[in-house]
Amino acid sequence: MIVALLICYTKEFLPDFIIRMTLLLLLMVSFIATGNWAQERVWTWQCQEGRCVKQLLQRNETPQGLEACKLVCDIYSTLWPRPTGKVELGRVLVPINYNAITIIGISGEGRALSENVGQLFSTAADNFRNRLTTMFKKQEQRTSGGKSLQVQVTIHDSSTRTLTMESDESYELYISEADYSQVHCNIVSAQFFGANYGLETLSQLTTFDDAADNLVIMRDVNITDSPAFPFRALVLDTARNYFSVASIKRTIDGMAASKLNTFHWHLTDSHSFPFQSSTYPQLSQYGAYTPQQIYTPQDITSVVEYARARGVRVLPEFDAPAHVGEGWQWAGPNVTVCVNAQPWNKYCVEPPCGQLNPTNDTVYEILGGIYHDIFALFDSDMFHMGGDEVNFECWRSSLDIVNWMTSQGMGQTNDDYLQLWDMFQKKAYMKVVEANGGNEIPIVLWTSHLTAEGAIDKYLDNEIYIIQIWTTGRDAAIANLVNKGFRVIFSNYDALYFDCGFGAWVAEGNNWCSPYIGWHKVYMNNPYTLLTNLGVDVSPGTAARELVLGAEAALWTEQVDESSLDGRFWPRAAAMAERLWSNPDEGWQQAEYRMLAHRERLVQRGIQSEALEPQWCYQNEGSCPSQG
Amino acid sequence: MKVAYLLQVLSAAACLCAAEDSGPGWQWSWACKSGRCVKSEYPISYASSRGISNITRKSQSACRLTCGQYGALWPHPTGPTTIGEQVVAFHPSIIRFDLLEVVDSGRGTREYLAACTQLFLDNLLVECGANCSVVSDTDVYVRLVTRSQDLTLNWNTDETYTLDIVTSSRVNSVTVNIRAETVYGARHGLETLSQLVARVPAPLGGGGRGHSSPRKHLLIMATNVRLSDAPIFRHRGLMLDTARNFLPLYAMKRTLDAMAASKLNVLHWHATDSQSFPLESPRVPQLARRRFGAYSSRQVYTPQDVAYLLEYARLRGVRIIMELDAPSHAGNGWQWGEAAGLGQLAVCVNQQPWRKYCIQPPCGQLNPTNPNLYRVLRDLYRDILDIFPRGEPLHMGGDEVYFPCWNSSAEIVNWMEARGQGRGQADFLQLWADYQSTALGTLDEEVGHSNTPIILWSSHLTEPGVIESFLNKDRYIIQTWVPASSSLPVELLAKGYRVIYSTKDTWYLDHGFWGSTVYHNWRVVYDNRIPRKAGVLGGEACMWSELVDNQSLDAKVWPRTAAMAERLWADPETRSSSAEARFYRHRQRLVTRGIRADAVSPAYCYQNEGECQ
Repeated sequence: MIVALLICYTKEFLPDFIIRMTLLLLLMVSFIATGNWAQERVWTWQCQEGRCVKQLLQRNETPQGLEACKLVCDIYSTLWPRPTGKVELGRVLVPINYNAITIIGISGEGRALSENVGQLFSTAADNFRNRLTTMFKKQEQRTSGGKSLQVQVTIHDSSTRTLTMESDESYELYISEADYSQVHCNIVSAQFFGANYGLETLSQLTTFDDAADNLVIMRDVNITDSPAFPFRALVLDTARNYFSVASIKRTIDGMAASKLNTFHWHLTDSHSFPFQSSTYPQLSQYGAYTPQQIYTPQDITSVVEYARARGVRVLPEFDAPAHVGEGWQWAGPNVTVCVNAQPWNKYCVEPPCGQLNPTNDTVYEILGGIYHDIFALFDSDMFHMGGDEVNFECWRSSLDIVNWMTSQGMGQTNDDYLQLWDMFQKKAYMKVVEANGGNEIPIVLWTSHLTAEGAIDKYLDNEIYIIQIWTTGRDAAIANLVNKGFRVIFSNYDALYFDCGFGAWVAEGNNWCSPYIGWHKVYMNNPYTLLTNLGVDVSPGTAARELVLGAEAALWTEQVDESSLDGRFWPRAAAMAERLWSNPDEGWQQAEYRMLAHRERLVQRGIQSEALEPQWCYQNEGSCPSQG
Repeated sequence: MKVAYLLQVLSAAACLCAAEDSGPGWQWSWACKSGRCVKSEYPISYASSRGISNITRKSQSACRLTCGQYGALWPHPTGPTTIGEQVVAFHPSIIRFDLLEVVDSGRGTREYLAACTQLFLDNLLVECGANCSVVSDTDVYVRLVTRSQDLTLNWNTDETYTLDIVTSSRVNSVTVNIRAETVYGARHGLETLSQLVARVPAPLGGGGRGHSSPRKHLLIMATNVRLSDAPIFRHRGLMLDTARNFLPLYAMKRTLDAMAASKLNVLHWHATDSQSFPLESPRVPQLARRRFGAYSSRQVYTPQDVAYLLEYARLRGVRIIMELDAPSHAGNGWQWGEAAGLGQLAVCVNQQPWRKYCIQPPCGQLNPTNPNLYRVLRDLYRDILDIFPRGEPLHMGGDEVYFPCWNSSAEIVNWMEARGQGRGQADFLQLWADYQSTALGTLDEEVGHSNTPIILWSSHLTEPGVIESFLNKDRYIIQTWVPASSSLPVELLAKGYRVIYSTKDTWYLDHGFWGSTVYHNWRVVYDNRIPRKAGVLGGEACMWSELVDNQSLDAKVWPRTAAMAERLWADPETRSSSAEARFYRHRQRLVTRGIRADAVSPAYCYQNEGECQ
């Protein structure tokens, strides 16, 4: 190449030929001397004051690749989310042999794991290996150079397989060099969930160093870690548009990579009914977009088990009494009302309209069947009953409902309709309990008229109901909920609605919650701060603090389907993940380099995450504008 | 005879179109009512639908195919268009192409169209999807007629064509005639023909039923079609920026596929910027290959890549216009000048604090006072000329020159002082203009004439008050990137300049994700009208890639750019709301062809036309 260059320039610049010749020779010599002729390596990265700086490779200098530099440079390495306990990082990388990695799981007594947990653990170990595999760009890179890696994982609880609000997700992680040929890693956890996270952290301390051409791991590591909030969730709406099981599993992969633990599944809506009910198969026959776009019991079981092995709970939502419509056409007259009514804006917030008729007994009979089917497939420790955006005009438009209310001596005021709704909620809840084998179960409801000040004390019991907030984070009603002793989940739309910022699909202009929410805002959305700003004391030790379960990013899918699913969730959902796992005092600025590294990690694992900046900024840390 | 045949077509349509993909025995059907496909109130089971010969019962894609004046066509034709209600079943394997009337005395027109027919067949097979296994005995005979042997694709290329589909008197035979002046018109005709085709489930009882075996499918084609078509604007473009983030070749190919499907004809390739220089220049290898400018050794475009892409685009009726942005938006890739004894080729490269020297980091501007710069540019131009077709315009960028950068360079300041120039706005403007004319002169010397059209972004240099003293209107075409409300394009037109519109507040696809910019949804994109005036070449949507790489490219670009495509091809008097059903169908088409286009509505709205307004 240098020769070609010489020829071309000698032709062009004969006058300065001698000077240029000398300089080019010098350049040539320097390339030969460093022995990097083959790789044509011009750049190296050096860690300076916590950031990786791109520099021209000097003579006799051993190059360091960008990924390797990132791994040792930041005080939290490229860990995402950053650990909350002890973080001692050796900041020295050791080459390891991909083909000599052993992972064993043992019980607290040093015995083999029980079958219960052992099966989950073996999937988690496979996942760990698969994650390392994605680090290689080519098969040939998996050479046998480097030390062997022994990973020993201790799980004390040998029976727990299901994640609940009481689960222990903490873990401890140690990495040390045992001798010249071995690196040892120990992970200790109370339950499977912590062990799984420990393995995730371990894979985040590993990278392929393209300068050394080897897989490397950090040595001399001591980490203790546990989450700040127990409920760290995403909600996906599979009714406005359908999402394949494969795309749901990919979403769960992203969650596991970011230590999110709850996949809230908004199964149905007025637009479609993809959930295949064994009791009432007509629901999806009528309500699915196509006969293929359904979730069979097998599909759901496979998602639930997939999630379980990744420490993720699948929380089903069956939204009612509003947000129903398609799928109920067969059930007979007056089971649903104002379905697909036009002009839609008279009867609902978005087309197609539709609500259940609370005065019709068939409704509860069918609901009972649906709940029964749901409880047979999911094993979440809570259930989501939706309960948002009930439109009284829809009910008012039904002669059947109006007559029934009159016969009960009820009027036609909003308060009367609130009572009607309350009656529905109580009757439906009875069916839920019935489906749950007669046991009470915590219920999540979206904020609504029913949860408003004045109504909530009258209608909802804080022992049973958990309220999911979807107003802005500044809404005074949030303070009221906590003050009344309700457990809350934050999905304040001004920070956690990931569908915002795109075109309005039923009107001119952009959608109602525009603009698009950048990752900085998501990262800074701290539930405790929101409550403090509303005058609620949530300092450690207060009862109010215990009521804040966590937060959940929402993807309503009017304008998203499988084509752009990943880009909407990722990497923004990861920004929320660190807020909920680590809840750092510092702002997003200290997290920026790690966030960019985590985005690349998600891409590497096959998640089509949105780009956050030009690649130049990734290669030149600290040189780009802050847009927060 | 003819009557008998039509009856057969009718009954075939009835039984073939009655069901969308069906597994467990239920199906919805659609009927065309005053231009809208209306979903049936209830699904029916296969069993009860057997033997029903009601022509109005159709699968959704079959209904859309012939419903309304333009059926499922995108962009819609601009001449008289009729699409008959009858359809005929066929299989892609029994299409015959007749190229005998493609005038070719060895220049390659027939070869070109033969390649197009292959792409056309590929599209049909993709449309038919898995289990496209029902073989129909209908003969489809596609006759292509072109007169010109000119293979040049430029602003003067005649892209018109006519298409008609007739059922011949012979039973089970359909003839498609596509007539065009040029092969590029004929290519558009084939694209239109591919949109007159839909996938439907096979008839029942033919072995396609049952829970275990998936339903078989076949294709249907609209018959009794007669249309003529020609674009309103001749420059229908998309700009891709491969410098802020690198786009792999396959991402650009995918984009070209979608452009072809939407009859766009220019890919404007913003190849380089201050962030990176991925374009490999054999004569100046330091720029990219030596990794001064490329992000990594893998993230480069070799001359072979570029040549390959040019041909890939040409077969899809798209030409590529290369942009080498200068003198601003140049930095990384240009740092090696001093070490090579050429002096500073660029100044303030990667300078911090960046806000003092440029609009966005990293900073960098070429050093117009260094004569060696023009020698390097000459080599770069030669490399471009080696690959690109003769006469193809060059986009020379020319946007966002930031004078404080030049003003911070002692070399430049001294040079200007030595010539008795001051350091005011006007002096730097003159310096820029001098750069532009020297660079252009260098290019002209290499080309051997001064006729290469040059495109520049609107800038200080193109202000109506000064442009005439700097830029020759016969030479320069101005790509304006101002809001719709700006009078700049009209003023430039009045002065005799040709203009390409990249209306910033509708056709900038990166908006809505940074600063105070707003996302431009497909309706806004569609509803942006540009004047039909002499001098208006057309428009371009721009995908600046600070916040996009291969991962989300498709969703940012599509289907919005297709909305612009209909605006530029057909420039309808009507607004986006009238185009909704066809647009949703086209979005679906793009997804089927492997482009991850963003969703624009719930599937409910696609299935229930007109219910979401």
